[in-house]
Order: sequence, then C-alpha cells, then structure tokens
Amino acid sequence: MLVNQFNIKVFEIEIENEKDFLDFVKKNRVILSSYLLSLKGNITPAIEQTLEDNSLAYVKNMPIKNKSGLSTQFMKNSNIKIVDTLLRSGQEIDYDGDILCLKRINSGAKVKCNGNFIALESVDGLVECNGDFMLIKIGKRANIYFNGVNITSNLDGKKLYSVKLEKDEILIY
Amino acid sequence: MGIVFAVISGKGGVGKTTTSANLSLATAMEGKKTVVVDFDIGQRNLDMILGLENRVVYDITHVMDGEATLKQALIKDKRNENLYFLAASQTKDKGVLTDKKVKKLIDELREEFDYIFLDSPAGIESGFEHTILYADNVIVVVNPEVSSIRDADRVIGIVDAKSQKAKDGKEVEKLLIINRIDPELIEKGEMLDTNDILEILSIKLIGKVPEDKNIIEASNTGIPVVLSKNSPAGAAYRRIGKRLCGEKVDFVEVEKPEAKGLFKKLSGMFK
Repeated sequence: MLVNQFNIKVFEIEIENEKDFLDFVKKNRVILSSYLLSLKGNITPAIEQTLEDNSLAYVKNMPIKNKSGLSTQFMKNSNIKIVDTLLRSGQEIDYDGDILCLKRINSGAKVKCNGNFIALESVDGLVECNGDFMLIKIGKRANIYFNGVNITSNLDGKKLYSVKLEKDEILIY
Repeated sequence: MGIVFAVISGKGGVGKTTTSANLSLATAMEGKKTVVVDFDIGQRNLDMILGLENRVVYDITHVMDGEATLKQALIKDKRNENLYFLAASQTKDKGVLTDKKVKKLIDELREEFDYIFLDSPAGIESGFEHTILYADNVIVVVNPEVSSIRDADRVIGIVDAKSQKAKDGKEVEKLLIINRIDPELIEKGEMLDTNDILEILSIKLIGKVPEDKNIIEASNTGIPVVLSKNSPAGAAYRRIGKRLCGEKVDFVEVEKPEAKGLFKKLSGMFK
C-alpha cells in the first residue's frame, strides 16, 4: 500500500451565478491553478467545461469547517505536542510524535519523543529523540540522545544546533 | 483572613529554618500579627533559633489531636508582641499529619493571624507535602549552587502539581530567596549568579541574603539576626519582610565584597 500525505491549500467558492463565477475564474486563473477549488452551489456544464479547459482541480460541496466552525479537519490531525510550560526537575514527557518545547528544560527533567524535537530555549535535562530531525541548544547539564546515540559531546551551549538523520548518518550543524 | 507562606527548599541545610524565624520576626516588626509554625515534626529546630525552647509545653500534634487548644500551644514572643510560635513535636514523627488535621489547624490560624509562616521539613515526603498543601504562597530558599537549585526546581514542580490551590486551577505564588551569598566566591565565579538562578527557576525574586557569620552566633543564642543592627543578613531579612508587607524596597547588591576600613566609612558617607 502506498500512502502519500499532502498539504493542500483550498479556495472555497460559493457559486451564485454562472457568469460571475466564470469571470472570476478567467481573471484569477493563474492564482487558482495552484489551489484546490472547493465549490458550493450549482455547477453547470459550462462551469465544468471551463474548469477542465484551465486544468483546475476542484471538489464539490466538501465540508471544510467542522461543527464548531473553527478548525478544519485537515489541521486537526497534526501530531505535534506543544509544551508551553517550563519543565522542572522530576517532570517527564513521553510522546509518540513531534514535540515543540517553548520554555526551558531543566536539569532532572526528561523528554522522550518518537518524532522530531524542537526546543526554543536552553535544554539542561535528558532528551531522547527518535525522529528525523532535532533543533536544540544545550546547557551545561544536558544529556541528549538522538536515535539511540548519545550526541551530547558533539554539541555545546553556543548555538542552536540542527541534528538530522540522513541515510543512517547523523548530521550535526 | 491570614495569608499562608510555606518556606521550602528541597535540599536540607540551605537555611529554611533561619529564614522562617527571621522573616516571621520581620513581618511582626512591620506590625503584622504573625505566627510561625514548625512543620518539621520529629526534628524541631525553630524553637532554638527563636530562643523559645524552654517555653514549649504543647506542640502542633497536641493541638491537632485535641489534647490542647491552639491558645494553650501558641507561644508569645517577648521581643515582639505581634509574633507567635507553634512548636513541632519532637517525640512523634510526620506520620501523625493528615490532610484533614492540617486543614483544620491552618483554617484556625487564618482566623487569628495576618501572616502565617510554615517551616517545611527538607525533602519531598509527606511532611513537605502537608506543608505546601494549603499554602497561598511558597517561599523557596536556595543557595547559589547547582544541587540546591535542582532540588528547589523539583519542589516547585511538586507545589504546582500537588497544592490545593493548584488543584483548584489557581497558581500558588512562588517567591525566591537566594541565601548565603558569598561575595568572594561570586567574584571568583564559583557560585551561580542571580541571573542564572532566575533563568533556571523562573520565579519571582523577593530577596538576596549574604553569608553572615552572625547567623551561627544568632542560632546559638536564640536571637535572630533580624534583631541585630549590624548584621548584613539581618538587614536583608528586614528588607524582605518589608517587601512581603507590600512595601517597595530596592534590591541591594549583596554580591559585592564589603569595603574595609577607612574606605568603608567614606563610602558610607555618600549613601
């Protein structure tokens, strides 16, 4: 089975009358060609023909908004965990996905994730990241594992390092 | 309705009990009716530091078990009429504390006093948890060195997870005191500096107390340094007392080594 994931940008258009819509498409053909059109209302054969001629992709009557009216079902499936509190000694996070830490990770705290890991503030605790990449700045007492390899000695507190896994090789720069 | 301050540190020996004694006296000196309670059941020290050891008849466990009334157990300090003290039991251990008993005692104290200081035991066991359970604020005492900071970090995390206020969805205010700052060691770079500590713990600083030889003598004689005119630590505690009472007092650079002799006198003239 082959599964591909895409991020799609969508124009949602409600068709009120055929002529206005065709004018709109004609005018904005260039922009629209890089979007998916989600159309509501009556799609006449003429409209269908125009869209096909301009090779514009479209779907009919697709519900984008959920019942609460806010988030779309496409955004909801994101599996990133955002940690917006400071992690103190003795606190532990174990997550099967990506983690974004906005505050410090103090000495004695532990973060483990099976996805990618990004920390915006200094890390002094234990981090185990099993994802494909990591963005990290460490303090003096950090202990960092990337896909099972302790890479602490390859990092220092001077800058934000990006760590990548490429073809079974760990690249740090 | 009184405000409850739990004095905590995680690590032992950083100066919790000295801080509790001095701060309670300092707020009493500011005119607040203050009580300081020794929660270190089984290892009481506060009575000695306050110089009240020979006046202890009833202690906290007597009150909790109904063997004595709160009035009977409270010891009034002779140096300051606003200060009262409730001793810990020396013979029992912290197993005697239960949530219910602690709540009843603290509710009673809240009725009577403006400021209530609870001197917590070191560590993170049940005695500590009972001390922070009903606290409105915690005063975290640290020394400027890494193991003290990490232990403090741990107890702050526990306060955020386990205190009643946190369970009710409110935040316990956490105030930091950096104790035993040694100017010489700071200068040599062997002690953590204030900014590093604040960055790690990220709580509000309420005072910095310098290392002071007078503290040892004060413990031996039972006269807290806050009462002494020429103790730098005493002056620091008086400033913290004022801050706790809502007064705005500027922070003093206690990290700078004190100037000696003539120079000291001269610089004193310009203050």
